[in-house]
Amino acid sequence: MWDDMDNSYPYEEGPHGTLGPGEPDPLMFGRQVPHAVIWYTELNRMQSLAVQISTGRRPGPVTVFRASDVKIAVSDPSAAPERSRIVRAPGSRLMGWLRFLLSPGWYRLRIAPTIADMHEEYYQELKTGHTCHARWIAIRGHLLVVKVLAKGVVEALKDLIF
Amino acid sequence: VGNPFASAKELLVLSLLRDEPQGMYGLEMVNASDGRLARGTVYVLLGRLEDKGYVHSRAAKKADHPGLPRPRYTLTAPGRRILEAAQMLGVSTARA
Repeated sequence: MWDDMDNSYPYEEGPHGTLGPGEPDPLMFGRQVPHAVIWYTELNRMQSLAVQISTGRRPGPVTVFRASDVKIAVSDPSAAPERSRIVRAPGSRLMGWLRFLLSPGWYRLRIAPTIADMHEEYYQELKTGHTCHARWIAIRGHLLVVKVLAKGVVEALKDLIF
Repeated sequence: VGNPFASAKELLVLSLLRDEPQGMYGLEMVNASDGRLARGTVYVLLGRLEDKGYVHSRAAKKADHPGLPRPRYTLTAPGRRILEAAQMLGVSTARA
């Protein structure tokens, strides 16, 4: 199952169904043949990706796929968009660093929900085609994470002093 | 766990959760609080309340988008008791 906002080019389900071990790395495969076939397999959370497809220089509609989707193939490569861009979910790098730096409890209770909200709103905006607002949500989400961290430092200092 | 007493904002969160037995998302609480809770602080409050055992969060295994699933918060029995105790003592929950 996949969700698309762009019905301007034909597509069909891939012939192989779910990718298994030994089959091409989906991300690498997607990079090698970006316009003909886009494969997806179950990626971990850090690798959750949105695929933004646009035609020429003009930003086009954004297509968002679930990470578990494996069945996307453009049947007519000549009708495929000229340029594809694979984008990490916003906050992915930050999540990696914070998961490394913070305690698991602190990360799970305070940081992960903040980033989850950002993702929810970000992908809602992408689905409706509001890419500028989606970018703003990503920026605001990062600022909120910084605010949560600052609050946490203040909280920790209070606990230490009192 | 720190201070077992709940602050006014923590009591506000608990009272919001009491009215929604099926639970609420963090952003729903922000919207329902009429500006008393901020996006940047709601998860600090909820994290503290979960540390104290007053709320419980449960996230769906998968989100319906490529990002992280959002946790849904519900009130626990100790949370309900602390809220009732605060109301018996006349402590404001900062809720109109």
